[in-house]
Amino acid sequence: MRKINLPESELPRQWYNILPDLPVPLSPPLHPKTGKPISASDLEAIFPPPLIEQEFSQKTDIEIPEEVLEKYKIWRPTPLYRALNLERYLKTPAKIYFKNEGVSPSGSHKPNTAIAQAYYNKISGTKRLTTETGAGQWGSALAFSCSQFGLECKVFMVRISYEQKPYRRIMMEAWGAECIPSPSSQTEAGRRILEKDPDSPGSLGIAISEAIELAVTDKDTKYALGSVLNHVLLHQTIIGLECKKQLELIGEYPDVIIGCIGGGSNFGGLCLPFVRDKINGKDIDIIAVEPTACPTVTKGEFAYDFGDTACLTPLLPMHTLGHSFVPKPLHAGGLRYHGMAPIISHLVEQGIIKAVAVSQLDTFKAGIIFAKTEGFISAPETNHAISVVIQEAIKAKEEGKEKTILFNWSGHGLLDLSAYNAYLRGELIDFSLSDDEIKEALKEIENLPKPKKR
Amino acid sequence: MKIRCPKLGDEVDFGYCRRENNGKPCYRIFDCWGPEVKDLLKEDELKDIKPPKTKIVSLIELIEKAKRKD
Repeated sequence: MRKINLPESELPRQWYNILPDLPVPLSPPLHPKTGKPISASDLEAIFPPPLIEQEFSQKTDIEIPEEVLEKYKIWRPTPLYRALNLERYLKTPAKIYFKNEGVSPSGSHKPNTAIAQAYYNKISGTKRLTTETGAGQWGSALAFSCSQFGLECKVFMVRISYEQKPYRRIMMEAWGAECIPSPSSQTEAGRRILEKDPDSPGSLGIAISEAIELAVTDKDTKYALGSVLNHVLLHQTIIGLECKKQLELIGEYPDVIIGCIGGGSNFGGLCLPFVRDKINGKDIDIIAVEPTACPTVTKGEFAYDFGDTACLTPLLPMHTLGHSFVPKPLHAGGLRYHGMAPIISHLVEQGIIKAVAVSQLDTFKAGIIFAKTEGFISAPETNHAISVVIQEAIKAKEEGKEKTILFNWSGHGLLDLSAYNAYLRGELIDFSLSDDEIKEALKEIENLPKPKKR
Repeated sequence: MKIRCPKLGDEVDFGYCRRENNGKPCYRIFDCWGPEVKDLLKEDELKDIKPPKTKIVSLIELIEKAKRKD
């Protein structure tokens, strides 16, 4: 069978909250001023009460409101596919399944939480939601979701992407959202940047500052975040919960689960319901895949150290900080950056999830193989997962094992064709090059403008 | 010559990464571009590359900052 569909009547009616099931509890984040654990009241300026309650909830199963289920039915349950052509291409005995989250209106898994967040804001009296977005995947998901619940939506889009990637901006506008290039003159945070640097290309950090400022200073506005936080991962578990039902229909259970990680939401959404099984004794390999262009692992030129005691910050090359360093393999380290969901970092630290890094050219190579075999053009982030799926399928062939591999096809790449274009034209670089090739490549950037003095 | 920025989900050149953090280099600059780019950065830029705070702590700080403005 190539495609396993679940009827609407089988749509899961509860999200899964892993927090109470963790064998070692997640350490609470500490307030930067008081040093005490962050509490619900610290977040009430930007989030509505039901979402704050979910952020700290110790209930394992949380009811999905009927209104949210009705909106989910626009595209859910999403199909589970067997990648038969990819299996044949790889001549692997492994069975490869992928959950197609690219069928949502905005083309990725992001609306799973955007719809829920829009709903809880609506019932809490919020009139407008604001957020930041990079290339627009999250912003477009929120714009769509706000339109479904009659909320206004204001998205601060990082200026460089606003100019380079107009299509998601147009999607946001089509759904009625206001999309503003950040830094903007609408907030003090934006104005301060523009005063210093009128040509600032922006950054996610600036865009977040603008969105938060708006939410805090306007009583009718709240903020929405598309990754990292516990309630976001909670809403995304609909992915894995559906998968379990679909696999049950065909009498399958995965040996290996793979997903790409940015903030951890699509990966968490797929794997957390299976992590529950693993905690209860199931033997599953769960692999998070993240990007790296750094050749450090292969060349062994640099040692790394943790940037802070919480181990959530990036591992930094020794020559940048001059600390005393203990060499660590990069494949375990990259997860520890501040944009990663604490739940995922915690599961890696507990050894329940394994993290690997792949280089960007390898990911595009995998994406092209997938497009040629299965037909779908994947979001570049999704290609990270595919790259490791291919590695695992080849490993299964070498070991002669009939493994079942499951991965999250988190989004389509039809609005990321510029990235494919850059790859196909040889404009994307990778550091699997030789030293001489790297030096040659770097010559191109020697004369770029230097940052202005502050 | 560009790379795909994992934070942004978009293709950027080195000049962007060099000023991504409020005019200072992005903390992932070596992860993404490789350690060789160290030679292209000035001493004060190297000093400016510091690990950021966790997301939730950053949010709390931004809330506090915005409240002070209000």
